[in-house]
Amino acid sequence: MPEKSMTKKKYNFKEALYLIEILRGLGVTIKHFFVRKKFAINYPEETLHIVGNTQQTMKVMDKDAQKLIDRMEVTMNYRGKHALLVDGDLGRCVACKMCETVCPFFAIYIEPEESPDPRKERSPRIFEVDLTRCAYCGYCVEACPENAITMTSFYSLVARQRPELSIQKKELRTVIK
Amino acid sequence: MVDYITVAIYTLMSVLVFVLILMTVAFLTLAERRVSAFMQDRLGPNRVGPWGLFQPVADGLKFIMKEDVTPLEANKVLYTVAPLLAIIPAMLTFAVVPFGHDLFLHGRVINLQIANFNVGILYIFAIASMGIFGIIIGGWASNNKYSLLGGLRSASQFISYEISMGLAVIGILMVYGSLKLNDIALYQGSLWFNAVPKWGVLVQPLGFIVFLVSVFAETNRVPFDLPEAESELVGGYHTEYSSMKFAFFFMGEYANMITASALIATLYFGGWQVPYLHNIGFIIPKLGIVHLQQWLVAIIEVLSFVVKVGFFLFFFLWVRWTLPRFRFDQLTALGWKVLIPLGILNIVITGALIMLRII
Repeated sequence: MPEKSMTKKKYNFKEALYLIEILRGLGVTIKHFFVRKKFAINYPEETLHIVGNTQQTMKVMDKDAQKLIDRMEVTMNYRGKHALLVDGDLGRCVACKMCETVCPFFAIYIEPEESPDPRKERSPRIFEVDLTRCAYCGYCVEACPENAITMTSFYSLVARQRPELSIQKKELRTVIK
Repeated sequence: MVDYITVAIYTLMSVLVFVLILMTVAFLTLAERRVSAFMQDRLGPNRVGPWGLFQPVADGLKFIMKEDVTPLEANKVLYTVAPLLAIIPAMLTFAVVPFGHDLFLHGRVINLQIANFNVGILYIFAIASMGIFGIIIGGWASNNKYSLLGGLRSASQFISYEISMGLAVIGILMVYGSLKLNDIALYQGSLWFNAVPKWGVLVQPLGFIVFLVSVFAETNRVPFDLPEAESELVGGYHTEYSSMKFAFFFMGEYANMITASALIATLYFGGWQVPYLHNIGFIIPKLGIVHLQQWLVAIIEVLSFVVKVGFFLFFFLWVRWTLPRFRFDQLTALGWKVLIPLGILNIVITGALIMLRII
């Protein structure tokens, strides 16, 4: 059996003295004490701007989180409240129930109807997302064949009563050009 | 005949100091959280009042409202006495720390110090070592293996570092030749080569380092906070404590920090001394004298003391968020193999320098 051994790092005199290294450490902490990067956001007073990411375009991850915080913006691929996209006057959703099926939490409820618009056959009569059940996993977005459902960066999901968090088609509707 | 006015003044002063220490303890708990947050690029508690200044009030209320649990198998009497034993010596030690020059008021001499003992330093060593009983008894009485381990660690740590602390102080005693803290602070105002004030840190640099490290160990602060090492011993000696009993341990630790800072300031940084400031005003050699009123001098001195103590309190927090905790064998090795020899070396050097009439 091969012998395992740990080699200890040899310290030079300056490191072995320890005091100088302590002073260097103290320098690092005091630098952070006086010059602080901003990471925390005082939520109710400061809010992050929700940038327009309702379009189902390629979402580019902003690599530098600090830049986003300086601009007070939510990351582009943040998974917040859902949106049902509408092209001009035509809703994309064809009530295929793919999202309802894939949803692990049964948060989506769809009732289809015959589309009044001749350009598509079916459209949802009721499209309901229960945000109290939703875990914002984004499976519905991936499952959608029409790129109709997407997630916005709207993060402030608060309500006084539970029914308010069960949002309907009308509130989800987002028109894009 | 008893001079009732003097008695009244000293009583008032001790009450004032007591209240001030408690206030400082309260705000230190806030400062610790805020400073630690700032050093880690966080914000810390900033919700209660402006900049979170009323957080200590909220914390205090919480401690009072919480359920006071005594473990079933605990020794009830000792379990109750231990927190008191931890906090009372911590408060008592401050009694001999001077915070200003003697005042002359209508023929009375008022020491700006609660008790001007002629055994000042010995008193501090005697009372400060009482504080350890609170921790050991608390650890033992709560009938919990982690608490017991914490208490025992504290005991061995205290024994190791009290020696080096004493050795460091002997250097100071040799230089200034008095056990009275007020005298020590007074002598530090005298000038070296007619230019540099004889502060302890300049006269005794090695002794200062030994003393500083020992004081960190004595107050159970990081990097020597093994008695409460939360990653190994849950909470150390106060694992079982809750409510105000826990708060007493907590306040005891911070009160110890205040006393330790005051001691460092008094022994090594001139206490209430401001360089070149004397009873009558600033006396700068070869340049002249700036006359000041007695009360103004007293205020400057007390302020200088407060600033020095405040800096060292900050230093305690600063070190806490810089250094990781020592392993226990490293701790004892540092105490016995490094600090005690250094302390003895310091005494030898000091003796030689005194013989050569340099100090």
